[in-house]
Amino acid sequence: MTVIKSKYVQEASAVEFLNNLMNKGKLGRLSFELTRRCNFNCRHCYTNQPAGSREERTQELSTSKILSLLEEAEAIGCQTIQMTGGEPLLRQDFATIYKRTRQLGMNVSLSTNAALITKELADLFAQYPPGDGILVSIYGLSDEEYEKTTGQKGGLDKVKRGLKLLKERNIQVSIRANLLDPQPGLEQEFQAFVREFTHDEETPVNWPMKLSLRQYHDSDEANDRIKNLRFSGKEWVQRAIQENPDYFFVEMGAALCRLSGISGNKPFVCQAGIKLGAVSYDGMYKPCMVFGKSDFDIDLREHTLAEAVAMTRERMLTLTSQHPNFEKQCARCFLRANCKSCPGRSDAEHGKFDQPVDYFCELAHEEARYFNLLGPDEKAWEIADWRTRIEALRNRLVEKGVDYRSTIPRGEKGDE
Amino acid sequence: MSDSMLNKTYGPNGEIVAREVEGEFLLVPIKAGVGEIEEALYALNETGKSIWQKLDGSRSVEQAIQELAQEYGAEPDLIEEDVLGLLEALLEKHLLVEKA
Repeated sequence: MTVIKSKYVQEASAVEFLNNLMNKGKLGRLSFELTRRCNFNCRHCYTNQPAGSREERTQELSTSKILSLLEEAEAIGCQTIQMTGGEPLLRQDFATIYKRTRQLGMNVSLSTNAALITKELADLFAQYPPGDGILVSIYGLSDEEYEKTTGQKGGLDKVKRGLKLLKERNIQVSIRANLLDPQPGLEQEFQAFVREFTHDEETPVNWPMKLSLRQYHDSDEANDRIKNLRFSGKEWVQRAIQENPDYFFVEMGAALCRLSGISGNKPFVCQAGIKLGAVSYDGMYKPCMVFGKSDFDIDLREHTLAEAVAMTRERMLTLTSQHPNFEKQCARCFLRANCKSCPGRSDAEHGKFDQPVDYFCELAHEEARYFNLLGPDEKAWEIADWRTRIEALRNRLVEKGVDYRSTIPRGEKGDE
Repeated sequence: MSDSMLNKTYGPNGEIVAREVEGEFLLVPIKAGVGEIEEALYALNETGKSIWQKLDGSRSVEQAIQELAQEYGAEPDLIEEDVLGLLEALLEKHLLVEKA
């Protein structure tokens, strides 16, 4: 922590304190999926359910259960509650949940599409700032693009209205562009949008999304649609570099330098279930929010949060994979930490947590080929001299004046 | 300035949540306008924690010093230095305000 002026009090940013806590191996951040329902119906979404679904509502946690879980989260030292969905603002009791979280001294990180932000909610955020930010996902810059992706007429207007209410109250918002098919010329248009609707001067445009299948295996039709929306590895890289190849070189190159390594047969390399945890809409504790129903679920009607956190943590620390494909590929792959293939996405794809996902594997390989870390037909798990290759990339970055240890790639925050 | 503080009463400004997390005593300002910057936390050491708990708006600074001196078996002059040092830091950050 940064000590300032007084020997009795130290001041730190919430992020700094959270990192400190998590570096000690403690669960600092808990994702709370308040609902799977969403006011949008995005073509690529891996989780959404209809906004008005009565069946969904009956399965969601009650207000009192959520408030009591928040108290448990505070008691075990959790610092940040990530409120996510679906669209969390669809819950009628959102303001109560939000305010209580802040009154317990925990920060909120809110993920929203901003279309349901009202004057009252904006006033609440102004009075009680979230502490860990509001992240707004946008799905296009034109009405047509928005409607095509979200299935809603007038969606962009609602989002703009919501963002305006936040900006008028000086509330800090980060915008993430979740674009299915980013076109050339987008960068300038996006920056103008960021300047108009937030207090940021500039936010890098996200690279094309890397799409997961439905986490609850609830629709073959939706899965077919998602598969059709996926870019091949070559197309993905081409789209990612089309606007700003230098930015891609620096950010992705730095991520490859920093994260590359062999992690063996432990399926989780992301600290899920150890420093991070998640509570689903129906009250299951799980290692992370990417998982749908799985045998990692611990029912919070039968266990306290503290018990669920301890049980999951113990399992995560000792879990290994015996799956032959995992042992042959992922366990020996130096690109693993940079690959979106993970137990949650493997579960969505195969119904098993430890099988490679060919689509993510192809994307990771194509990214590596762009940096000459792999030849056209090489597989990352067969490369004996990967350290030498990474060293060469480090040298290229250093020559360009890039400190690869200090950049934070957008991919680390998740793409969906 | 310090002498004039002794007879005054100070307490938390607005809604500040005090939490103990992993051995750290934290002050978390949850309302806008409290603390120097948004999204900041303040960690008090053991001495700071004891003083904070006394500066709750119910007693003067002088009374807080006397009580702390008694509880810790220390000279009031030494305690006064600690209390005024922390008080000034917390006032500067608007975490404490004067109470009527």
